[in-house]
Formats: sequence, structure tokens, C-alpha cells
Amino acid sequence: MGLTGTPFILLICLLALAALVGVVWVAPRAARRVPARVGLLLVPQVLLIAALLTVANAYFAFYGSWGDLLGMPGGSGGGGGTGDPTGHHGHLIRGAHGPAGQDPPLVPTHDAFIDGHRLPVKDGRLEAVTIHGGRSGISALAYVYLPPQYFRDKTRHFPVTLALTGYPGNAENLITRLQLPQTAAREIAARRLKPMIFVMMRPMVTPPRDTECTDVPKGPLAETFFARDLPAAIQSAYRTVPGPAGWSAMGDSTGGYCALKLAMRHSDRFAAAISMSGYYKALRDITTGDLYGGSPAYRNENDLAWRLQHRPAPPIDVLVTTSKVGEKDYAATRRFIALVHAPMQVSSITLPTGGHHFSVWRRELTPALRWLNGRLGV
Amino acid sequence: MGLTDGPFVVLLGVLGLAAFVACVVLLPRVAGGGPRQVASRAGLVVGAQLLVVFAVLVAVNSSFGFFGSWADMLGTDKSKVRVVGAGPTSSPAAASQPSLRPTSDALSRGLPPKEGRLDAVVIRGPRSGVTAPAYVYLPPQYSEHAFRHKRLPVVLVLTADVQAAITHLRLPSVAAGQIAGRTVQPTAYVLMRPVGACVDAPGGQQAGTFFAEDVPMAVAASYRVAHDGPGWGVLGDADGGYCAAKLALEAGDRFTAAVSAATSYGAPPGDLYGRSAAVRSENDLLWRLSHRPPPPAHLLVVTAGGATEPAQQLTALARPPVRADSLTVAGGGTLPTWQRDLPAVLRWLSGRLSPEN
Repeated sequence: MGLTGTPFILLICLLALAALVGVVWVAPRAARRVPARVGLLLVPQVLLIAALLTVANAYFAFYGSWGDLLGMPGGSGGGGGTGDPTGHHGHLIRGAHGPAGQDPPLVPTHDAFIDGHRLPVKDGRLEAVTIHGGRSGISALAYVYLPPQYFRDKTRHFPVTLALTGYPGNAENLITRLQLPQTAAREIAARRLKPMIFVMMRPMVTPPRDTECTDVPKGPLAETFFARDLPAAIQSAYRTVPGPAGWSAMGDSTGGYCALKLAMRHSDRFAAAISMSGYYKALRDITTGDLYGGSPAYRNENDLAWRLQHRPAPPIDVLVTTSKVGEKDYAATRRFIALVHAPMQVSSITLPTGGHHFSVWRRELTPALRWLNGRLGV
Repeated sequence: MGLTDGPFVVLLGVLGLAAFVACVVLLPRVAGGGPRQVASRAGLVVGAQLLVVFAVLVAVNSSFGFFGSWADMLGTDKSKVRVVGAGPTSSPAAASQPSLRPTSDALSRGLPPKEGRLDAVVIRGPRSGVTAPAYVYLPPQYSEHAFRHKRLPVVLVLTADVQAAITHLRLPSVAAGQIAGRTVQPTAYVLMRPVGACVDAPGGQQAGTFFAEDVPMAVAASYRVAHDGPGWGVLGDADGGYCAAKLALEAGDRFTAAVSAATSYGAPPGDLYGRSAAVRSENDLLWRLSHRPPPPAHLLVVTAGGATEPAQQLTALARPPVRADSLTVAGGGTLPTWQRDLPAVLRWLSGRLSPEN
């Protein structure tokens, strides 16, 4: 039974309700002593909280499956990745598909979610692919949106945007919750957005670890995957414009930090970035562990505000979004904007109120895509 | 009171706890069987439990920062979303960056015109902040009509003594001869010193970024040469040999093939690793080959000057899809002494690079 499916949510809600009724029913007989009463009341209490957390998890689209939640690799349709951990693992030499580097860089993949989410032909096409990163050794699932023009003119080359959701989360959130391909198709049809390809992924390419798109010393090479393997794989399989001018990265929350970092650290691959409610610091918490090999200096290199003060400003265009009330990163965003200098350019969206969730990002998406349209050098 | 305010969260927590305790204490008083007693019991239990649930949800929301305010949660903010900052369009910043400045010097003017063109340039890396001089050799075919739509492949040559590679080894003339004899395809050569050991030092010089990103971008923006990996190779001796192998193994999207004659493939000495043993390991090519999945890379591992050990260590660890060929060159440990074997080296590289159209 799926973690986010209606049957499971219904079941746990019914259990909580039943426990509540049960307590009211048996209370007079069963609860003569205080510890017994406490225990009795805790049963429906815990079930009620579990039910509401399950609903909240589904609403905010965090953990897409039990596998995601419990940290099993390859959990759900959002990108079951197999990263290379640190050690002398036998699978590096003899895996099911041979060494990662010998796989073709991009393989079309059967995916139940994409099968159930076909776009109308006039809006383009969604595909599921697995990207095998030869240099990072990471393999991960991606959803690719191809605009209708891709199939009409077989000689035309298209710009590409890498879109990343937050952590935890699944690539399908970008379709079901952010409605990125649907919005892009509408804007493309209205000629407000040049026809372009979207590569949609979650930033967690080595589940369950939150790598923050970092090359972790003696750990997963997530940055190499996104900045080196992915552009080469997409270019090998699709008709894309060469060079960074047609390439951009976008994302929400952790995906926003990743998009901004990829463009700032790899402006040879990405010339523009959109960060929706992203942050600017190099995170270190329980889900990330130490991503920086114990080196404060390497951590600084991943701190985007530090970079603006200590590294040359990269030749990129970025859009950052925040809210005056309700977004924790408002002050950090103001500070980041103030630090940006030429040749880097920054634009921003600041909502009067708005939190850290998809309804806010959906409101910002259309203006953000129109902003992006003016920055594609193609 | 704001949805995420600390006092509100604490107040609700206290209320929730109090409600739970009150429920435990009061439950025996409503333990009767009559309809009024049952209704009171249901009200007490359900009320207390919902208050606790509400307190937990508000605390979770405040901690993770999902809904920022009551207006946000209820969706009452319908104000127009506006983008502030740069205008509706801007020219891509990347294109407006002049990062290669051609100059000429006695060395560059010394090449006979029939052997091609040698430019003395300064490459200013906008991403790394590193600035370094270079010589760019263009074969005569570069300016021929037949090649006007071809973007030539490029070999980056990294050696400590660039001048000796031009005057003593005469690399441009040897390349011109090989190209004229059609054993090497028309190729551009960029000659540089391997600055900063090609390592991105945390908090220090970003020499890895300079060679892997700035140099290819700057050269391809100024000359009609390949933009990307399949058209780029790298050749280096000593410190430059480490650089060459590193670039092909770590930045194979930029350099598809490398000829390397390093004195060591371990992490270069120096304070380059942000005081981290793990960061240092990542710059040790022997560690990488034994601990990381092998990347797709073509290497020609050169034994030069009689030092066989570094080449043996590297080739012993190479496994598919890394392809490591071996070559022992006559002469000394450094590139300018490889007169006899340079043509073979250039031919090996030429066979692995492809021009762009």
C-alpha cells in the first residue's frame, strides 16, 4: 500500500477514528488507574498525529514511497538512483549492467507514473529516462518534457532547462504539483516562451542522502552528475543547442539552491538559474551529514553568499524568489541580492506573504518562465 | 498572533499538554453510562486530542516553515506576482565576456607562415579568476577555404617550459609536418604552463576550474575550434602529466583523451586541500581509480626519462571503460626532449579527437 495513496491515508484516518470511538467506549471499564488512562488516551492520540502527518506528507510531496521514507534506494518513480558510496564495492566492477561508465549515458525507461500522465499531443510529450553518469558513477531517473515543436521540425535544436524539486521529494511533484510541463506548454503555445526541453529530477540522486548537489569528498559525486554527466547525456540523446547560453537550471527549495549553485559553479554549462525559495548557505544537518570532508574551506566553496564575496562573479543571470512574511530566507535573499555584482545579474520575486510550498511556487512559475525566456541566448 | 510566532507555538504546546492532563484527570468523572455522560466523555476526549494534534501541527509547520502565515495557509493573498530587477531581456552575460587577449611576441612571429600561425595570448578565466599566458598554434588549414565550416579539434599542451616546446622541440613545425603528411588531422594546439597543479584548492586557487572550464570556453570563443569534449585532448609532462590524466578522468566531458607523463599520479604536494584528507584523496588519481567507478576516458600513459613506476601504477588500476595505452619515449622526462616520439604521440591523440561542424 503506497505511502501517499488514498487507500493508505483513508486506512490510517479510519484507524484513528476507530481508536477514538474505542476509547470513549471502553474508558469507564478500562481506566481505573492513571497510567492505564494515559496509555489508553495515547493510542488514538498517536494515530491521529500519524494520520495528519501522512496527509501533510502527501500534500507537501516529501516522501513519495515507503522506500523513500525508510531510505531504501530505488524507492519510487521519482528517480531511483544508485550512487557510488565510498568504498571498494564489488558492484563497481560487476553490476547488473556492467560498470556504470559502460552503460549508454541515457536509456529510455518504462515508468508507471509517466504511463499514467500522457500529455495531449498538442502539448508535447513526457518521457522517462535513466541517466547513467559515467564520471560520477551515479544513475538516476529523469522525466523529460519535449515541446510539440520538437516533433514538427526534425532539424531544430532546443534550449534545455534542468528542473529540480526539493528534498525530500520526487520528480513527479514537478508535474503533479508545480505543473511545470503543463504551464510551459501553455506559455509555449501562447508564444510567450520559446519551445524548450525540460529535464525534471529530484536532487536526491543517491537516496536517502541529501547531497545538496555537492561532490562529497569520499562520497557521492552529485555535482559532477548534474554539471558534467547530465548535460553530456542529454546532448547525446536529444537535439539541444550547444553551449551554456541555451541551458538553465531551476528548482524549488533544495532544488533552488542546487540550480543556483550549478549555475554559479558551472557557468560553462548553465547560463541562467531560477531559485524558488532556495537558500544560499552550505547546509549541514541530519539528512546531509558532513558533505565537505571535514573542511570548512570546502564548505565555504559551497556557500553561495561566501562565493559572491570571495570568488569572481560568474557570467550568469539568476532569478530568486522569496516572501516578506512567511519565508525564512527573506533576509538571506535580500543579502544575496545585495552581494551580486557584474557580470552576474539578479532579478527577484518577493511575495507579500507566502510559505514554502507548491501553491506559492505555482504562482511564481509563469512569471519566472517569462523571465527565463528573455535570457535564453538562442 | 502569527502562525509561526514562537509565543503562539509555545502557548499551543502548553494548552495541548494541559488538555491531555485534564482529560486523564477528568475521565473518571464522566465514566457513567447515561447519554449525557457518554456525550461529555466524547467531548472531553475528542476536544483534548484535537488540541494536542493542532499544537503538534503548528509546531511542525513552524519548525519546517511550510505555511508562512494565516493568509498563506488560507490562500487569501492574490496579489500580482512581479519580477523585480533586470529588464525583460538581457543579453546573455556569458557571451559578453572577452576572456582571451591575443598579443604577439618574438616567439609567435618566429614561425614560418607556411607552417601556420602562432598567437601569443593571455587567457583571463572569468570563473576561476586565474589569468595565464598561452600560445595558440593554428595549422595552415585553419585559414583554408575547405575548412571554413569545420571547427578543428584542439590539444591542450601542459608543460613547464612552453618556450622550449616551441623552439627546441618545435612542436608547431612537427605538427604542421604530420598534418601535411595526413597522419594527423588538422588540429589546433594550445600551449600553457600547468598552473596551480590543476587542483581546485578550497579557499585557494581554482586551477582545476581554470583548465576544465575557462580555457576551453575562452579558446572556443576566440577561434574556430571544437567547443566540447569530443574535440579536445590534453598532453602533459611532469606536473602537466598529472594535469592531463586528471582532466581526462574527472572532466571527460571537456577532454576526451590524454597523453600523460607524470612523475607522480598521487595528490600534488602543498596546502591545496582545505586541510581535509578526504579532499586530498579526491585529488589522488590512484585513489580515484581504485575507489571510484571508472569513467570513459582514453589515456596514453607515457614512461619518460626511465621512471617506470608512475606509469605502471596508473595502468595497473585502469579498467574499462578507462582505456590506458602505454608508450615509452626516448629522451628525458620532459616534453621538450621527446623529438623522436612526438609524431607518434600527436598521431595517437589525433585518432581520438573529432572535429565539429
